[in-house]
Amino acid sequence: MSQTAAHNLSDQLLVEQVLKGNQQAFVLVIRQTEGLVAQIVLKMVRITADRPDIVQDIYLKAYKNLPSFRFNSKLSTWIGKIAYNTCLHYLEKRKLVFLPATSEEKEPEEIFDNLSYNRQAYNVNEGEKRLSSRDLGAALGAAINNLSPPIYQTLITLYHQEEMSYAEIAEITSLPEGTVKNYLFRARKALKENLLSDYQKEEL
Amino acid sequence: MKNHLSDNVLQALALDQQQVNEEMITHLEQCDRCREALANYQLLFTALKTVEKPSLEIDIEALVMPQLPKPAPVRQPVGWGNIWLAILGVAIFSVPLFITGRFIRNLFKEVPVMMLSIILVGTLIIVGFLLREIINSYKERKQLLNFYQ
Ligand SMILES: [Zn+2]
Repeated sequence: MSQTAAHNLSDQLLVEQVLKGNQQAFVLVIRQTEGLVAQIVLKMVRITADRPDIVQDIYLKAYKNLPSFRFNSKLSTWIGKIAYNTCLHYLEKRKLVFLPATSEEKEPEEIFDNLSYNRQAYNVNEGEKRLSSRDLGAALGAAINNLSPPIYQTLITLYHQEEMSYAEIAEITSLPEGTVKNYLFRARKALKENLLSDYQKEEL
Repeated sequence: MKNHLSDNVLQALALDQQQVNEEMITHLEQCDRCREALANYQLLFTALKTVEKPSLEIDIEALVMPQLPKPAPVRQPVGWGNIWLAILGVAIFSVPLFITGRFIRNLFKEVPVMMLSIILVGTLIIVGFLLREIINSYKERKQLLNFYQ
């Protein structure tokens, strides 16, 4: 049985049990998804005191809307989408910027395509400093949290830490898959450059 | 060789999402900058997987479970046993009614029509009041139930 098929089967059993009124099954749903929900909430809601209400809201919505879950995705992806939308609504209410400004959207250089070579002219002497794995661990968490616009932090977390596919992230964020790839490309580039510039500052 | 490998390609190579061709290999062999950049991406992606995930420090179960609405009571489907019981009940009442039907009809033959209609209307009014009472108390209980949910 493939991993997705196994997932769907256990999702189906869980959902059936919850719909039958077995609330203990919902405890299992929480345990299976709280890691993902935590990463989304942590990256999107900066005020610690606001988080409990948001988490509660996410799971109450999930419980209420469970009868409409159609198994088109993993249950965890579906709950991830509820978490993302709840946090996005929270940010919008507070007029906090999360997505890139529309003018940034289409810089020709940055569109994810198959261009093999950089526009930058080749110059052998111009090197790039090597990051060291020893210092990386400590600096990385902070570097992720400094990525801007903040959606980059969420995308990096979902792709590299939660190991979700582009398609799953597109489902959660309701962004086209191409946009997810493009944002992730920019986020990784910015992350590497920020880490490198931190190193250079330390050396001075 | 005029240009460096693009960041797109470097990222894709580090993620194993890009086929490496001759030209890229030659470039990487000769260009420190691209080799360093590729190594940095590889290091970064490995570090991202292992970096410690911060915790919410919220007991989600304790927070959410008491707030869940009470599950709706599951309705028992009508079984065959119940259907037979209903048929038996109807039979028990209708057989004596059928037998004594003639006597009952004779009983009312002597009563004037006026009297009969007064009794009938009276009975209907009483039944109406009783029904209203039952429905009201049912509604009250239902409201009380919703309040607790
Ligand atoms: Zn190069």
